[in-house]
Amino acid sequence: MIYALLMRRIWLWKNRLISSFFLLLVLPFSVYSLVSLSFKNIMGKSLSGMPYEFWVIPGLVFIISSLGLYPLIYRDFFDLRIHRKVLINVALAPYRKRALIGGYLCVAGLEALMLGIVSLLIMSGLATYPLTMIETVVMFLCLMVYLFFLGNYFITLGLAIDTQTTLFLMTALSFIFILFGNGYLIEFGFFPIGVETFLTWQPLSIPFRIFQVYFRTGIMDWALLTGCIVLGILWTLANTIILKRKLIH
Amino acid sequence: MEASITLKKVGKLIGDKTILAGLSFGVERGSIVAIVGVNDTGKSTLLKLLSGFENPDYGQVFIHGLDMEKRRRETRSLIGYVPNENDLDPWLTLEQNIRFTANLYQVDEKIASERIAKYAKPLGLVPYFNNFAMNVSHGTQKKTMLVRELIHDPDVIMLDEPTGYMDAESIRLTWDLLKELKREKTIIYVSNALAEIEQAHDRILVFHEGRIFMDGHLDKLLESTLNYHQFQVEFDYLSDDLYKKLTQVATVVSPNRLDNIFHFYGRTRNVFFDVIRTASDELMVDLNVKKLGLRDLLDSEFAARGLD
Repeated sequence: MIYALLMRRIWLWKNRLISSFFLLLVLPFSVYSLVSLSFKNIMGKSLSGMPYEFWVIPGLVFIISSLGLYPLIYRDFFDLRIHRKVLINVALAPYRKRALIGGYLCVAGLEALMLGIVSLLIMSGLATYPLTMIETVVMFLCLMVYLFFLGNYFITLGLAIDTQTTLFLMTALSFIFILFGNGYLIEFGFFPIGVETFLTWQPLSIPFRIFQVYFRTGIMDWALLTGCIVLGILWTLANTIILKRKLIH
Repeated sequence: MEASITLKKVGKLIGDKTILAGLSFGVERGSIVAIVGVNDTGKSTLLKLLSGFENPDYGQVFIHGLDMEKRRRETRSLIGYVPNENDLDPWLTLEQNIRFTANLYQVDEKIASERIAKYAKPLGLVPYFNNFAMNVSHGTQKKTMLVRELIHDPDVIMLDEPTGYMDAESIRLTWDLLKELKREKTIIYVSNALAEIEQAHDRILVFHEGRIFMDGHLDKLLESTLNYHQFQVEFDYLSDDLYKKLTQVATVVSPNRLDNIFHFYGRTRNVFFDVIRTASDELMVDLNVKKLGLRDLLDSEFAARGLD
């Protein structure tokens, strides 16, 4: 299943090589220029006293990966589904629905992770790289868990919503939340206490918070990370049920 | 012969409406079965149930003796389902679409290439292989969908309107391939192309309101109408009196009229001469006689009350 989906992604890349590469290079450059160069003049330093332009780089990697993940999930679970293409054919193959969801998540997550790695390489050329090797590994570990969550969230949206207008509005709302509600650009400490508590414990922000805690203190919260993975698996199973229902109707 | 597909009291409901009502029948291996009926009688739903795309609300479906619900993975490998609508990935080429399915079913690349050559060439698909699915005609898409389903060598092929959107040449090529495949595979298809069905079937299932209304080879189905012929006589002017007189000819069955055309059925051709004799003083413009076919069998009037 994963091999088939992976090959399909490679073919889709190959079929749109120039535009794909253009986006791969332009996306991190644009995000860095539009966010970091302006916000560093507003924020100056993070709450922990680190220059904002260094502090924000991991957050930008998470944002770019989120932007890279969305179209992949949208395409398969919304666009092609509502136009009755591909998904039915894939669903009839001899795999369990959870393997199908898992396969899509794995391949889309991998591509978004690659986008994150490329964007980190590009941004490290634009600004001084703030992370050590181990911190970078921890960041990508947290990014993988985050993409697992986010992929599930996008799949839920893609499957549960059947009209484009509703999906666009939900997507816009989701990206506002991703940009400003996960601590990528603005630390939770800047929000009022009640909002801070909510944002701190909403599932999508947890992986990045685990990384930030490690970045600041060197302490890795493995229990919380494991909890996130378990929650992600449960979310995948919930998506399996939604997919079954959607394929029937 | 061994059963390829067996249905035991299979039913499907959508809300309160019964789409399929306790269907029980078997399909023999290596046979070609056509499902026909008027729209919304449950034909496509039946195909979806048989393909595993939908589950029955009650009853069981067996493929090669395996319960589809309990042995889902095994039975799905045995089935190839070609839906009515194009479901190819629009941004992949035709070849990539086929190879994607080959990869899904873990078909070896070399074997996949051999099967592509075996099935795509006779359908004239190869010149279009590098075109995106969205840039080719509906007929070419449909042929690609057929090859895509054959790539994993299923024992049972299910097709919803197998020649939908195709031109005459493509229809011929597709049926040539399907008839060739019939030797090794069971083929079940839903179609409204009655002329094609008459040419390509071992058995026809006529659907009516979620039930099998008739079942058998066309010759068998037409047995009930054996020796019936359909006649049409067009008069210069068909008066009410003349129409009444003609309907009273003892051997005339199910008479009706359309403007100046008198339409009726008869068990023997002699009926025709009875009518001609009765109307010998009138000016006749055109005559038409034909043996009954599938279309007549499916005629709603016919289905509702038969000829007698």
